[in-house]
Amino acid sequence: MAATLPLNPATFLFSLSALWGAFMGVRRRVLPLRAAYVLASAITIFTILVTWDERLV
Amino acid sequence: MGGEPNRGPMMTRVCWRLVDILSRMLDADERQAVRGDLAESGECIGRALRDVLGLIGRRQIGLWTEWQAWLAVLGVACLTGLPLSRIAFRLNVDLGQQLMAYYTYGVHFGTLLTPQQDMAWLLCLAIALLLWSWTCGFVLGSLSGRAVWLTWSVFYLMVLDSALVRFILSGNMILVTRNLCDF
Repeated sequence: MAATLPLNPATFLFSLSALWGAFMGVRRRVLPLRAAYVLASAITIFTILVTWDERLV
Repeated sequence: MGGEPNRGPMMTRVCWRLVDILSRMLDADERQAVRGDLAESGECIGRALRDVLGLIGRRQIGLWTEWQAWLAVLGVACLTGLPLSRIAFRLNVDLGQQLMAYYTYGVHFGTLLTPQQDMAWLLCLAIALLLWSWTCGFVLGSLSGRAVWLTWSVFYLMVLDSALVRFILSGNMILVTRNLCDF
């Protein structure tokens, strides 16, 4: 059961956002340029923040 | 009066509703054409269901003749799923440790960081996971189109289970099955 259902916070968070992203991807196909910049910046900032700590790398 | 209720029309309505739902897996213009053809031909429900399922199957197979669906399943679902799985597993473990230590002993689990720093790190990791997952989902949907149900399922299972499988295969984690006779 735990191998197929998102029963913990991290996998729940992942599955909801991935599902929402897939839904948007099917509907819109292409991300507007402004949204792409915002998303890329946010991803870069948070990736730097979480890899700053050596626990993840 | 008191006889067996006639379920014929009810079942037929349910089956036509099923055909209607299934036809949503087709493109909008094709869906309209299929609905029109079914209405005009006056086919029985079994044959209509079989025809619609056959058409959906052919269209789904047709999607896999394009490179985009393969890139989605191999590039995004398999390759990106592996590190994402490790990160999700890490977030689970760290969050679980902190919550268990707090609820059992009322203290912060020692990680050489202050509780505030730990909380900030966990929050950043959760937001990063959310952003990465959304982006991967968007790319999957954009590349695979109507085959997204399959590519997304592969991605989901990869993220959910690949870290666990890797730990089990490397011997870092052992699964124990409880035998009811032991109790």
